[in-house]
Amino acid sequence: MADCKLYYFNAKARAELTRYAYAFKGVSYEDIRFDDTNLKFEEFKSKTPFGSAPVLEVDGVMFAQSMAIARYVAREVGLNGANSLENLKIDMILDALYSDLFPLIINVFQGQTDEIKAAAKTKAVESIQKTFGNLETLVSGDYFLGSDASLADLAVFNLVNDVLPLLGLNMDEYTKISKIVASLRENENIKSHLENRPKTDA
Amino acid sequence: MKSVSLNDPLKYDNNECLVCKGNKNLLHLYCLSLIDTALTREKLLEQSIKTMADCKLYYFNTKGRAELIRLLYAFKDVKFEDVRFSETFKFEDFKHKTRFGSVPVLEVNGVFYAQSMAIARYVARELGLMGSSSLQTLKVDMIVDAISVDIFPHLMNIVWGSTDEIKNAARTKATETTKKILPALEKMVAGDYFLGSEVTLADIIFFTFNNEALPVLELNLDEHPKLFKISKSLKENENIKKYLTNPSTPQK
Repeated sequence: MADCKLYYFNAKARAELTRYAYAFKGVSYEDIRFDDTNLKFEEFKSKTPFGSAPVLEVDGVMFAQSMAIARYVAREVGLNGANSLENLKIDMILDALYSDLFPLIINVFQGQTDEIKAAAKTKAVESIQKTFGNLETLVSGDYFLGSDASLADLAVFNLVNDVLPLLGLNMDEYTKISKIVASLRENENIKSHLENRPKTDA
Repeated sequence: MKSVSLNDPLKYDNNECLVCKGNKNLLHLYCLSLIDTALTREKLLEQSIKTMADCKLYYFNTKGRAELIRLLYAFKDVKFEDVRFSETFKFEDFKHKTRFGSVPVLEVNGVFYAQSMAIARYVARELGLMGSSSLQTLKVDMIVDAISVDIFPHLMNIVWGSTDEIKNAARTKATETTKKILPALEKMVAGDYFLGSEVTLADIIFFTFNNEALPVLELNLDEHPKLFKISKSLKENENIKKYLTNPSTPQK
């Protein structure tokens, strides 16, 4: 199968989970980022399914929706569960992080006034603490599923390493999750990805 | 050599090999392996359906975030325990058992799983409604997320938003996004249904979206005949009709 092409802005945001999946398993792909000279998003938009990004091009066909893409790549590189029930567990964790928390975190940065931003931050922090408390109980070994890392672990790594620091949060009090994050940070492939990826704010 | 499909009757007539029609007294290892695969797949599907039938879904006596899951079961005509909170069985008393303090939860072999869309995908997968390849599942997921991730939260805010301002903003956002994705979804319909001839989670979530959301947003499918056809087919499906007309099915 030819290499897939991932198209996104020069940011981590909604594409980084997929990039982590490829990096962790050492599978190559084309990591294409929009810019003002070579590839403007405004000009590329009409080729995408919904006029949005990220999109993944597989054998010439474009697919949208960041989480659909992440799940697909996880299946292809071997970061999904060993059975359907494990995939339910992974999905439960992904949804808690990206469907529940991510939008609340975005609200903090997109708030129109300082007052709105402050209220959004309080709400986000409350939900983050509640969710992480729940997720901590789901770690069933070195990683969420047991002895092997899956997309769920990369997801929590994405949140803790890239997103929550933007709110000034660290998750040290969650010991099992912190252990997952530390293990992944020590992984050679992840280390290399962290060193080589473009430095972006978000 | 004839290829075996899941629909073939799995019994030996006379002394004839099901696959190659040769004399089955001879060793037919390749034929046997094909039959085994079909038998295995059929057994697995049977097993899946049995596991699914033993599951318990817990939610309020409303559609909300459980309706999609109930529809999946209804479409495949698989019974399950559809537990709904009531005066005698209150959510507040049950809450501590759910992993996240939220519902719906699905109890599978004594373990509780949360997150309505994760549950929906699991049930769909087990009932054979997620496509038959990884790429097909990607297409299904893409369509499902376009509705459940990009639009559904705004629909919830139209009803449950804490201020009129929030409700109105949600309505605008939901309408805008829907107008944008309907033409895109129309292009994705590959046959009678999104993937072609088989119904998947994508069609079922679209069916609920058309029924519940479009009227609220004052939109319709007049300009999208393929999407209209999907919704019409599912509306006329015997199993879905049976479920929707059942007096115990939540109306809102």
